[in-house]
Amino acid sequence: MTTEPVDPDPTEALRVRVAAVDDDTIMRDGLPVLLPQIEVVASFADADALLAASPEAEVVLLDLKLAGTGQVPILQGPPAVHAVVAAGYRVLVYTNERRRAVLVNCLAAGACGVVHKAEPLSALSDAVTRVAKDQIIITQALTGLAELAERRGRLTALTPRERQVLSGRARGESFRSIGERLFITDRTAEGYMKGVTGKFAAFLRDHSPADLEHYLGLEPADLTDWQPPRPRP
Amino acid sequence: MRTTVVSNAFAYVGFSVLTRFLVGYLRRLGADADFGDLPLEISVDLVTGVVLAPVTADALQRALATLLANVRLHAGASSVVVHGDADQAQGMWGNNRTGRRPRLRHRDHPARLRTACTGGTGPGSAGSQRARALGARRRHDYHPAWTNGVPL
Repeated sequence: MTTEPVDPDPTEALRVRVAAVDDDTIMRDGLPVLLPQIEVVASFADADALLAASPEAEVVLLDLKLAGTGQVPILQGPPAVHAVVAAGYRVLVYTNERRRAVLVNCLAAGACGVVHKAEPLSALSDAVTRVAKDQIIITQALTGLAELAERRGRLTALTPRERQVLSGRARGESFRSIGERLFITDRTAEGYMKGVTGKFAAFLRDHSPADLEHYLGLEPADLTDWQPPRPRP
Repeated sequence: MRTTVVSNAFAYVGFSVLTRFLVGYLRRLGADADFGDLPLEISVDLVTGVVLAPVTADALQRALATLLANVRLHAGASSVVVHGDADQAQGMWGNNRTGRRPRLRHRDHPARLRTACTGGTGPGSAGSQRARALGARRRHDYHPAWTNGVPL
């Protein structure tokens, strides 16, 4: 994850209501215990069940790979992200998936962020809080792709400061270190990075999978295997 | 280390394949038995087209392996980023309006590798001394040309 884990305000975090979709029983039942500062209002084994129940939640924590019974194809992966986003939820992908093309696809489908299951629980809690505030959370690998897009002239809306902060974050530099180097506070550096992730997510959503493969140097068909349905004019 | 195998491939196949092998080596670091225990994030997209002389590539791989070994011993990091970049001042990406993928214009511009660790204590003194001996800076910057005097 690219954001520094910051202890959220407890009173603020309590207001974040989360619905979880995971095929792992331990994850579904364990999240309320592991994240006491987050209100887990419901948990489901698949995205269809979530959509049918339509719980009141500000963030949906969505696992990408859902096992199902194997008998009937189930809604999972980027199509599940798209369906849940279309239902009006903010989606935070919580997964072990590391393939960049898949993660790019999820952001292009409207996900607000990606957190790996290997991350500390504090990072997950922090990401949930941030996503509830409409911030974009991306992984280190995706930060590298954002830098690649910027270097190839595809993120033209970035300000010079945003480019400097992105360059530091892509190299694993902390916000504190970036702040000291650029003579700004770490909060200010964090603010610039928010701008970068927002523009990068918009870039992913606004371009076709074929263009993204071209711009980001991903292997052909990595993204074009699945395309979000586009509204008819 | 698999540098011997890679170096042989460099020697026999030539420069263009050398580059591919170098980036492939870096990307395989996370799955490699030597560093599979480290929480590596490999970010080397910006040096995909960089061409290195075989002796330089070999030195770079050994230096990177040394840095990572020191990170393993001393940093206690929860995340280790290996980042590669090429100097834009020397000419970075070619014209991408041709419809083809952008490619590096020059084969003689400097490339840099950097490792950074988070969540730990940072490099120990032994690692820092070794890094200084290699011409690296505190942030583990590594410039291959500093090590053996072979310009890129």
